[in-house]
Amino acid sequence: MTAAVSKNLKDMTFEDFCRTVFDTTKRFEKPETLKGVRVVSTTQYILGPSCACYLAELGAETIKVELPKRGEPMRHTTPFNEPFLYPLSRWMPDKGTGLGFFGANANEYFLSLDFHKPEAIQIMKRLAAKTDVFCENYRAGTFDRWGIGYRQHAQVNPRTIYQWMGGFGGWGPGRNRASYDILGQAQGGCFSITGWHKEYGGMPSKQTIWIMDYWGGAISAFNIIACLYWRDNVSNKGNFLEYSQVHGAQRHLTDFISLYGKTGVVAQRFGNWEPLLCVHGILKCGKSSYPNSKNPQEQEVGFCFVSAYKDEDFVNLCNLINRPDLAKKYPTHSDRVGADAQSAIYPELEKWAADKTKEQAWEEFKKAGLVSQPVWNSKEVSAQEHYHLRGSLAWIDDPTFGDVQTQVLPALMSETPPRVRWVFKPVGADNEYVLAKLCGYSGSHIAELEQKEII
Amino acid sequence: MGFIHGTGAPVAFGGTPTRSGWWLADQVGGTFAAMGAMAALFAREKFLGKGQFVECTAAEGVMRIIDYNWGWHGMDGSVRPRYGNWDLAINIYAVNPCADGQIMVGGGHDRLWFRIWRAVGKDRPELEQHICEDPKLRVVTDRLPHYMQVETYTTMCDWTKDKTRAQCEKSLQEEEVASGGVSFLDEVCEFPHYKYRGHLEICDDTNYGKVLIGASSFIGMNTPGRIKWIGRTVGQDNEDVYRRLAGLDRERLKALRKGGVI
Ligand SMILES: CC(C)(COP(=O)(O)OP(=O)(O)OC[C@H]1O[C@@H](n2cnc3c(N)ncnc32)[C@H](O)[C@@H]1OP(=O)(O)O)[C@@H](O)C(=O)NCCC(=O)NCCS
Repeated sequence: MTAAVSKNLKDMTFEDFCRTVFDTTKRFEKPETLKGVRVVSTTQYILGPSCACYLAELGAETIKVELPKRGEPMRHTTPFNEPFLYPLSRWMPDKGTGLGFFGANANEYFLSLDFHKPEAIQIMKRLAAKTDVFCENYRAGTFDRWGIGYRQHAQVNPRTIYQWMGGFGGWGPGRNRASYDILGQAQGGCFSITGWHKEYGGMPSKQTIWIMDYWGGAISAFNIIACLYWRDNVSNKGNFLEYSQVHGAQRHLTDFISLYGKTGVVAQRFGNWEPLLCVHGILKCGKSSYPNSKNPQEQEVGFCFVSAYKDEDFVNLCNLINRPDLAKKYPTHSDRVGADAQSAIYPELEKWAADKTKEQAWEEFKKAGLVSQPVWNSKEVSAQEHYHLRGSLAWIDDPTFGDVQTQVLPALMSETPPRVRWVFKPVGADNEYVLAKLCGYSGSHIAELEQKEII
Repeated sequence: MGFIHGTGAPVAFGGTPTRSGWWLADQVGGTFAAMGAMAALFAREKFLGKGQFVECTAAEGVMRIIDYNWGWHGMDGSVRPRYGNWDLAINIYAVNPCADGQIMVGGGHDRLWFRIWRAVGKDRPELEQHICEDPKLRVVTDRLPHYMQVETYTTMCDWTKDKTRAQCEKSLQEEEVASGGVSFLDEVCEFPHYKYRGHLEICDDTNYGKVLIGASSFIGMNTPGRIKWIGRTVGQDNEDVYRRLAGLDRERLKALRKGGVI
């Protein structure tokens, strides 16, 4: 590694070059991409928070505003009510923040404000004069009603970029509908095409994670950065932006939507197989990789993805499982890709995998030159040195919570890398800092606000 | 990356790890790559004065957005399990069967929790009473353990089983609760609200004719996103690019074409 650094960048192998310019141990020595951009995040759940969080990982000074004392609802969500990070706030040291909050609030400064109090609205207006970006995902129009929406901020600061995020959008006949990630999935269309088909006993299935939120936040963060660029280099103007979860889903289901538009065919679920490519799916391997583990997650049998849709790969695969007759029966891709052919091919592959663990199947596929990957759980992924070296997973020494493992924004950048400095902080942890720095309030003034339960 | 392991029903419910029905990892990875590139452009103009190299993988894109999996595993070794169409960390927040399909209902914090049961109670007061009088379900976090979720959703399904998606939706929306049926793609494409807002549009493409597509989801007052064409044929813009940007003349273009270079 050290040798690689001292060599001239031009003469290195490509791998050494990447390792050098992306060296994650040097992250904190480099400047931050969004240095000097201030973001105020009045957000709850995941959609809005994740958007602000990506900006914070890229270096924006991000101030998260929550309800005093209890904080936002996501702090009270955690798998099976088990893991918590303590304390919830200095006022409630015996309560903790649930892990639902994790992953969407890194690097931020935490301010608490009760918007029902006029003083809180005044504070927001003061912040507006000094803020580049607002992220918000309450019901559409709530902030406008409170007098701290885009229209009001733009009067104070016409360069404001204001991103509203939500389910169905701020206008249109369904605008009043409340929304959550899972509703975005259900009504956006992606739920109905995920899961096993009826013949295999399956139902439409949720993507397990809060995908419409985390990803919608990413799409919004992208748009915000684009607008910052446009503001600073092109127009000197702010912007009012809207992101609808269902719209985001629809934008990215385009081939299914076009299929319906052209032919009226309604795409259905196809389990772990792929309607456009065959073989390109996940096989059940009959054996567990950890039969003696006490954890039911590990006792499960394994699954392994394999791709062999090209003719020569398919021949290799058929030879591997000792069924060259299949390669003769389905010689071209159009012979294989139909539903009947897929229903005939996959069970044969699974027969072969029935006495193997996912690792054994993976080995064999690799030997046959096929692209494949066992299905890993979160423990197996955490154990991959690869991701820790690349810095997409990191153990950090969090100032409040000590050692925590966290994900990091996955865009590796050679000059201005993203980073995680802390995973989050207790409710209202930065009240004094933010109010003194940006509003010029004195210690006694802040104490008074606290006493009146404004902060 | 833990995504497939975690999607689908638990083994006890006959489930297996499940892939997403659409190319989610590519879309997510692509979004982060675009974000990185856009941020690099911003930094270049703002203070850096030079470009940079950005790298992004689909796998790490999904790893970034996979909730609290890494934190949880790091804390106590837990391996995030599958939990079907329910949620490990929020109750109520699930999709459950109803008379003509499946219905999503969500509302974990008290404001919405009691509104949900009020909607149910209009038809079935005994169900509302059963839930609201249960001391074990009174505090938000107390509702999260598995047995509490089973109790909640069993009671909920007692109400949804006799109602269609539209009927459930109507009752719940009267209480301003987030709810909606699982929509199939024809229902999505024909949904009046989406049509009104232009989530779906017909792109009259010069190459492919009229194609129904999902419209750009970048809605902005000053800089709305737009889709101008869905894709060009291979090399359709060779002439323009090579002549205008690379300064090639007709002779050299011809030579490149002949040589099979372009
Ligand atoms: C998530 C959602 C359903 C929650 O609905 P809700 O709890 O009814 O809340 P609203 O968005 O209307 O927000 C206003 C309420 O938040 C509460 N609140 C939250 N933070 C507050 C603060 N800092 N100060 C004062 N009130 C606050 C208040 O009770 C307020 O209601 P009130 O003025 O009537 O008393 C709704 O916000 C929504 O649809 N958002 C868009 C979609 C989305 O982003 N979903 C989350 C992703 S999963």
